[in-house]
Amino acid sequence: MRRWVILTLVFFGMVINGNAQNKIDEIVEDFSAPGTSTFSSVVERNPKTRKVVKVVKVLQLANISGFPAIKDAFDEEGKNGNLLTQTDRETTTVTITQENKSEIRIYSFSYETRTKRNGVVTIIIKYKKNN
Amino acid sequence: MKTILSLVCAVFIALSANARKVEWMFDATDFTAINAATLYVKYTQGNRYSVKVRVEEKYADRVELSVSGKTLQLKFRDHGEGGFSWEDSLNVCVEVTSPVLTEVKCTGLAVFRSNDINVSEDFSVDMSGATKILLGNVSCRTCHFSVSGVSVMDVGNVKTKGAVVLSSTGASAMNIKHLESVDNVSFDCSGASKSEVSFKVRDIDSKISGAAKVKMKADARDMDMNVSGAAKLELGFTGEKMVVGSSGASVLNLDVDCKMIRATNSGANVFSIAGTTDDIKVECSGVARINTTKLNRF
Repeated sequence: MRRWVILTLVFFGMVINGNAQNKIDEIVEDFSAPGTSTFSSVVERNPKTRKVVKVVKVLQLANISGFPAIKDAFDEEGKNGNLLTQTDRETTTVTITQENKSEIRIYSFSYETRTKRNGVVTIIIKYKKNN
Repeated sequence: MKTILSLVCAVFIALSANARKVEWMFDATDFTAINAATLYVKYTQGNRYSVKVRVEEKYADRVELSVSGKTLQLKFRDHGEGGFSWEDSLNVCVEVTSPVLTEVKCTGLAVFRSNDINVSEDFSVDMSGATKILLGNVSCRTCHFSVSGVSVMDVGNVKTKGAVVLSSTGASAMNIKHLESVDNVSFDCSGASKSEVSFKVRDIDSKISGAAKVKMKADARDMDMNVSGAAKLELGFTGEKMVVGSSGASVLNLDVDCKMIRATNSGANVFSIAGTTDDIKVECSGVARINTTKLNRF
């Protein structure tokens, strides 16, 4: 009985952990794009405790052949947070903010309004408990 | 690998037990290097010089022994009739003991086996052809291992005070259980070579090309890694900074715990990175696939 309880808890733990990743995370963390692209990630830590305070991930795509997939992912995830779209002649930026007990996630997607090229996807994860 | 070779040796020794064997001593002193061609050398580091030959009678007149400068030359004269295999070479055995060994060169079908080697000088191994070498633990000043052809090298723990240069080419295999040095390591693999190594050193400079396959565990300050062709690299890296360049259709699976990574990818290679790093930048061209799903999972 005890074994089943542990297994069930482990299973739900995996499901919850899996849900923390959404489609935008998946695109940024596993991409293959033709042309020039750059992925970068920086971790900010609390200097005293060395615990992680913030993680920033940026994916820059020059040839934005994956544009529809990224746009779809933002449209989908926009339902689970605050979606804000800003458009001017030059640039369009879509921003989603999601917040739960432990973290704040900000997703943004900027691209050239006219050409829909030179896209930049940025993910910022702020961990509340480690601040 | 050592166990397999030991078993093979035991089987052939047992099978050839009935064959008439002859043995004799060869008088040689003051050598620090061994050059072996198509025979089996059993080396022991000791406080005296001794060279004992034990061979099937039919091969006795084909064993040539000499000392040239500081090198003990051990050669089995191949008549060129073919059919002489690596297994046959085990029946041409030379047992060597010397206080110091700084250089081993194996060619043809030579098999070299040694217990631990402890020298204060530089130590080098050069293997070509279809040779095999089994070394115990090695302690030396600097270290230079070069393996080519279809040769196989299997080494225990290596400890050096100076730089290490390792090279594996052709269809060779290089296996080093663990190498520790306060200096740098240069590690090159090419052709269809296959290597499995573990390092704890200062800095690592490595090039992997062709269809080489490398499994590496590295603990170093900095690592400069270049992977090209259809090479495959599985790397566990702990350290400060790593610079990786990959191209062609290479496959890189990295598991890291370091402060910084700078990577460039081109061609159609696959680059997977897991573990933890506080600062990473991956620049891509071509259609490289970058997977960081297991990176920085806090």
